[in-house]
Amino acid sequence: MDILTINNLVFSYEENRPVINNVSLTIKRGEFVSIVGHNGSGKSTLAQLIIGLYEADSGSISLFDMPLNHDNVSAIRSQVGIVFQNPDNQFVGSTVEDDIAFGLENRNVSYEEMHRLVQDFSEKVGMKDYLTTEPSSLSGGQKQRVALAGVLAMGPKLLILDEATSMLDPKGKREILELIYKMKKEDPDLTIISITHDVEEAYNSDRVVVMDHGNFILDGTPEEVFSNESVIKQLKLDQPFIYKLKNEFKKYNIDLGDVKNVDEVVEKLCQ
Amino acid sequence: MDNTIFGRYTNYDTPIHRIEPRVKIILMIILIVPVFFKFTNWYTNMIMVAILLIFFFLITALSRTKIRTLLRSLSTMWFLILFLLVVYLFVPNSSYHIVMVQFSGGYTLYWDSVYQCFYIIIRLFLIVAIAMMLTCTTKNTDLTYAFEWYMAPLKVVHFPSHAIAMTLSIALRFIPTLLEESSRILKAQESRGIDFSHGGFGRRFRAIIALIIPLFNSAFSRSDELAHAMEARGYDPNAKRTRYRKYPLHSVDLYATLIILAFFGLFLALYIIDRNNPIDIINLLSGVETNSIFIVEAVEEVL
Repeated sequence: MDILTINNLVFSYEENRPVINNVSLTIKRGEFVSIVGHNGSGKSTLAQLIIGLYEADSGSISLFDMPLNHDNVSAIRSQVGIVFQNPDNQFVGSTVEDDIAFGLENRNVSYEEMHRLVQDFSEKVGMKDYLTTEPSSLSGGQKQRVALAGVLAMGPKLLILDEATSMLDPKGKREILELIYKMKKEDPDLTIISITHDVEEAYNSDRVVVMDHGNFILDGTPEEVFSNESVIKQLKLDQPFIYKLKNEFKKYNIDLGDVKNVDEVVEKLCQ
Repeated sequence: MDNTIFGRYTNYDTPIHRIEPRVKIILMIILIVPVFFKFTNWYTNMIMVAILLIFFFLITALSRTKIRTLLRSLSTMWFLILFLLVVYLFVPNSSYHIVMVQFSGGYTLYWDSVYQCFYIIIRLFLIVAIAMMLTCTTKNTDLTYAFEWYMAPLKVVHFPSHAIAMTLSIALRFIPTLLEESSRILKAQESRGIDFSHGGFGRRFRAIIALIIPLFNSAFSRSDELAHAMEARGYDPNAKRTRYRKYPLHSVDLYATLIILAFFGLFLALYIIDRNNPIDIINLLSGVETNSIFIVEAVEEVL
């Protein structure tokens, strides 16, 4: 089943200056796709088009085999969760529990169910001890974890992370990413689109799409995409550290196989 | 970060904190009404205000709110107090009689004006402090819920009570965020050489612009993003929503209502008696027997 199909999508904020330039993309259920690109490459705009916050100039988007239009938009949104970049600007509730419940309130979830879900998901993201805390006394990472809980509590089929970690410190970033990998492991059917400019983050997904000036430049597995050295260099992207490490080892005829982080490399080498 | 105007919510578990927000708002209004009762004699007034103050401080103690926090509200009213002082002490009034000091320039300071001024300031303090008591002991969410509930009848005339309550709660939620932001902008602009603390009014005003513009800019982009985030999470201001919080009534609400109503009733009774037959505390104390009959007569007359 295709979760997302984009056909010849064009979008511009100003006339004749397209931000999204005739792109097509298909994402299948359970895929973990990273969309990589520099600021202004149009990747965040793409996310906002997918959940129908903006209307495309031409082309079509369909999610869960439903075309995105005025009639379907709320049905589609009820199955898509999105975590935005700025931790402060998506915290609606006055406390952690109110914020996790915000989306549930909108969906008319019953009182008992709502309290059960808030308890469950606050525990899943490790924020159960902070339920009555106000956002001003939370760190950025904690706020993003709350945002993630609020989105996951609604049981989305598609999770979009719109640079969800880019405003966080390294610790907060690691916590959020580990949480996402854990969620993905628990529910392999969850489709994730991660929009990021961090190539290390992209390297940990199943598929990488590189965007530049509103176009998709590369699309493939992380290995395939990052092996295309000339394009990566031209776009001033960096190759992921692990990828470079693996290549260096290859020069000495050591094949590290499918490793995703430093711990796995160490383990592999010690074997 | 310390918000002295509203009175910051302190998270204690006291009977005052537990009162249901809708009930608490009504009780607060009932408690403020006696502040406006003016009795015939100045000493009756003083005693009544003292009783109000004592009653209020009992509530304060019960709610574990620091009196210092409440007194700090006076410092935010300094301009108003100064204005009142000038008006009462320097504007002549024909009803003043008791001379305090006679200045050589023809200006006379009357005891009456000093008393009037003191009386109004203390009542002003009481009103502000009672209102602060509400915000100190009630969560923002609960307050906005109560406001929304009271505005609900206005829905008949298509008044957007839910949207207003939501706006209010978001505004309260973003106060600390924007305060933090403004102090960050202030530091950033100071590091670029803008002087916020010296120079005349014109210079300072121009400096403030360097703070206001970026702050507005950021507030607008925040509101944009927030609107997107809310929409993405399925928010529709016109749709029916369920509530995460329920507000059942407890026995504490009943007791609080009874106590406040009893207190209010006592004040109202004394006020009505005083209107018909001025209560003279000094006479009352010197001749209890005669006056008690007098009060019984007055009560009978009222009833």
